[in-house]
Amino acid sequence: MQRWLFAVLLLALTGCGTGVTETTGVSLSAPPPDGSYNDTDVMFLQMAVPQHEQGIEMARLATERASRADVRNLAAAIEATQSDELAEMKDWLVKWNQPVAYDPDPNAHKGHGGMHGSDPAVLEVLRDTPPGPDFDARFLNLLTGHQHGAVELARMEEKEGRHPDARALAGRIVKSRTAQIQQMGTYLTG
Amino acid sequence: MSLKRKLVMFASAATIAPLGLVVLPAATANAHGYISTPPSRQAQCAQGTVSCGDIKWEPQSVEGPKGLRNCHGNVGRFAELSDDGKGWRATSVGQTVTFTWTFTARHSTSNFQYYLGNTKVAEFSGNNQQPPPTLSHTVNLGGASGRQKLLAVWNIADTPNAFYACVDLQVGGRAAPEAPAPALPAEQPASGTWASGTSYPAGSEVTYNGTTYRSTQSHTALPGWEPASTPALWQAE
Repeated sequence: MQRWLFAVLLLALTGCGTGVTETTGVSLSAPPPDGSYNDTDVMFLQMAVPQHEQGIEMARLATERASRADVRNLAAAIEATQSDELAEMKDWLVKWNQPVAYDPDPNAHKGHGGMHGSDPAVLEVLRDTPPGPDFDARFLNLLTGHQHGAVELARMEEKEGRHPDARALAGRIVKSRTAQIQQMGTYLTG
Repeated sequence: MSLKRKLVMFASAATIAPLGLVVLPAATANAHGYISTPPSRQAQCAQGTVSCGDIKWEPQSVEGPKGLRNCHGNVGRFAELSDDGKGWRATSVGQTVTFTWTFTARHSTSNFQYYLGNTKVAEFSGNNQQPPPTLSHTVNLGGASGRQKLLAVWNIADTPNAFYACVDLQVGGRAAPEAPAPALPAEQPASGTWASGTSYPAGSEVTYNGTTYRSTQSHTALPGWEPASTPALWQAE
């Protein structure tokens, strides 16, 4: 029975949670001998990649559909900066021989999208909203919720991650997303 | 429970469940949300209207047992939300107000309830389903007037918990004095002309720590978008 359970846990660890050892103490991707990164760094990047991809798509929709020029400008800047961050994060995962945990199936993890910071239903709502004042308000509200998720992930990395560059990126994510949330708040209420 | 622990639990659940070996409850208590317009107290913290502690990072996390009637859901580190003397901005409204929720995770919902004091002024059933990504409720305040503290409660269907948000309102009559738009936090760069909160048209030139940069697209500078670490927006000359 114990052996069977162990096998199940091993299977579990080979999927979405690769590199996560907290539940069993079984390490499938031992941190490198030089200790340059740890499991939290890997988990942060694997979670942040789909998070960024969804944010970029939301921003791209807003550059095309938002009525307000200031909203379009903010969206374009978010699209550009997050695209850079995304490339950097994927680069680290590849260098570390870690899977870039991107699941192309939009129905994966249904109902748990918030856990990964991506939620296909959010994108569907935006895609289905034509240009107009409704679009702006909806976009600002949805991206605010989305960026709260980014702050949550990045603060975990700041506290528990090890890789200096990944932690520095997390610090910039906390700062920039927090400032974006403030700016979107003024657009929403102003 | 830490985010990391929750993520680990989820990671395991997501991979075990398809094997049909273990059935885990659908929710791992990560439902999160708050009222963004009119700005609730936690929204004012997140937007920098009022200076706050931990809550400014996670306005979506005011989660406590069902049945409470305070603004902080009995979460000790968010206690300032129940401090009525903190300078919360009251939004001027009429008798009918539309409240919009911001979600970071959407879990099945028993209902949304709105209270003025001990009086429930509205309730909306969630039918034990996931709420839609954008959700607004239009509430009649039942004749209330003057400054009011409205408590909104989001009761989760499959956990013993609820999410709480207080919204300060100035109902009818004279408009409450508008607080000035919150200034973006002024991050002092080591040196140079770049400043957060400034709007830079494409092609603008700034200096930052001794280097000159040209803006690649129109944007408002934000903390975290410093030229040296943001090549997407700034090109070194």
